[in-house]
Amino acid sequence: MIPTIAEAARLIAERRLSPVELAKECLARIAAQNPALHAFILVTEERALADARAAEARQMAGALKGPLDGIPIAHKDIYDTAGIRTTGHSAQLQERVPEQDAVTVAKWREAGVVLLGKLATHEFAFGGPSFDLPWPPARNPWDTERFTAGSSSGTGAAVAAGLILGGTGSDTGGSIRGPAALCGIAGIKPSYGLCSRRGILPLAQTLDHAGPLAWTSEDCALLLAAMAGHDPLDPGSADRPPPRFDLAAEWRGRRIGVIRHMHERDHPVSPATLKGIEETAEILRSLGAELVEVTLPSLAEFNAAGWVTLSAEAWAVHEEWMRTRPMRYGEFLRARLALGGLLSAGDYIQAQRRRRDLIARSFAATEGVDLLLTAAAPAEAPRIREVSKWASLEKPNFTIPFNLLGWPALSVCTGFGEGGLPVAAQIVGKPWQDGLVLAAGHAVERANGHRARRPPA
Amino acid sequence: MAEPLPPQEFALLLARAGISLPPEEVESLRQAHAKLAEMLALLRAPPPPLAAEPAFAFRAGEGA
Repeated sequence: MIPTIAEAARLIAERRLSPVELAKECLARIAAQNPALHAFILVTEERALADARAAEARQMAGALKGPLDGIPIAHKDIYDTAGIRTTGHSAQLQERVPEQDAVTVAKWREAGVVLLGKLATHEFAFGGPSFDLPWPPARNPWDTERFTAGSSSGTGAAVAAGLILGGTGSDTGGSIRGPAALCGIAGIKPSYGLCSRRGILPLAQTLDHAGPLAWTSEDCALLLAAMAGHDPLDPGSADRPPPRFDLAAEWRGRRIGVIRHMHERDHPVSPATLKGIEETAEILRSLGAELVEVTLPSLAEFNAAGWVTLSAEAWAVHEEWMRTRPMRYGEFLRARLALGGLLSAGDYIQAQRRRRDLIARSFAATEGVDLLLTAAAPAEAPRIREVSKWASLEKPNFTIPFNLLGWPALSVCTGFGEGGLPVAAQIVGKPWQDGLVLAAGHAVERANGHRARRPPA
Repeated sequence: MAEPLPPQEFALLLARAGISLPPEEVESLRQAHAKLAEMLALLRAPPPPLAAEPAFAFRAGEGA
């Protein structure tokens, strides 16, 4: 039985669970399953056991730091970890060992987590799934021939398989919510500015968000509370106190806007995905919320502004290496970065003018609405070998609109499709309503019962 | 779908950006570039008002 973070925290506090034994169980699962899942690209066993022993000493002394003390986690390999290799899953940085932790890594360390290692990612959070990198791409634990989505691919796979209880992700166009959706777990892209990005390899700074993935929304709330907070050295960090993460929300008087056009017309989803969205809406209605239909700008408009912004900013980050050593990138990333290099200054500025227009229209369309509901992914996971290099240009995705807006957005598991793989819904809030978004996810998970089913070991 | 740029014109675009890729990757990129062109057209349809501001405004005095 794999506990959630909330369950493990309670058992550790009651001295009914040993952090050392919990870490050893996770390490045993990694040894057994990682050869097929490729979720970890580095396992830090000695560090994990040292962290766990320290947590256990605090447990025995009655000096636990909080709910994350003794909890096994791992970091996406774009998060800097002091003294531990951090590569971006790329040959470009294959031997890089940072001297300092990322701000969010340090915050979790101070909260007492047990670090099990570094997790697979799409190369620099943009290029994948790739088979020409120093490490293979992560596989979906529900079916190892299937895609995890990306770019937080290792985190999605490792959490779903119970190799860790939670982990970090980053989300520039859907890189937390995509893996959460296809791996059947929870993952939140927080409000822009809530979590520091300092010490995380950048992809596109005006869209980059740091956030957690875990088995449940409740666990995401615990993890997010420990990584949120103002960082004066991150220019994107908001100088305001983090919101409360109270999962006991009152639903009467709340209005939930279903963005039907996105998942029914702009990009029609699978029958199982649609059923999950409808059931999620019905759960919130049965708790007292009012359902309304909301019309936002089209997915195509959001995706045009989003992908031009992302591609141009990513090119700026990687321009030098793309000119001097492009063959050290994998083919997928090299191609996607090159496309950004072909954009003009005018293209980028037009995307930013459109972005302001999209933000204004989205606020106007959602006045009086507390939360939004649509798809997180169109269907179950595709076969990993069939994922197109240009997928983002072929069909609009459901996640990048909320990177452009900076609004908090959560992927929750809503059931299983015809192929037996998970499907998901996306719950979105207004800025700084991260707590309400997680409360909705928590209520939905408690009602739909899908947290009882894990992938086959 | 928009027509891809002619290969010679596309090669000039790559050279201007300082990008050197294997020939087989250039052709795939040329096809993808046509899809990107559709997104770029959508950004400009309808054209924004002359005074439309970008999402992030420069504000003097706020520091770097």
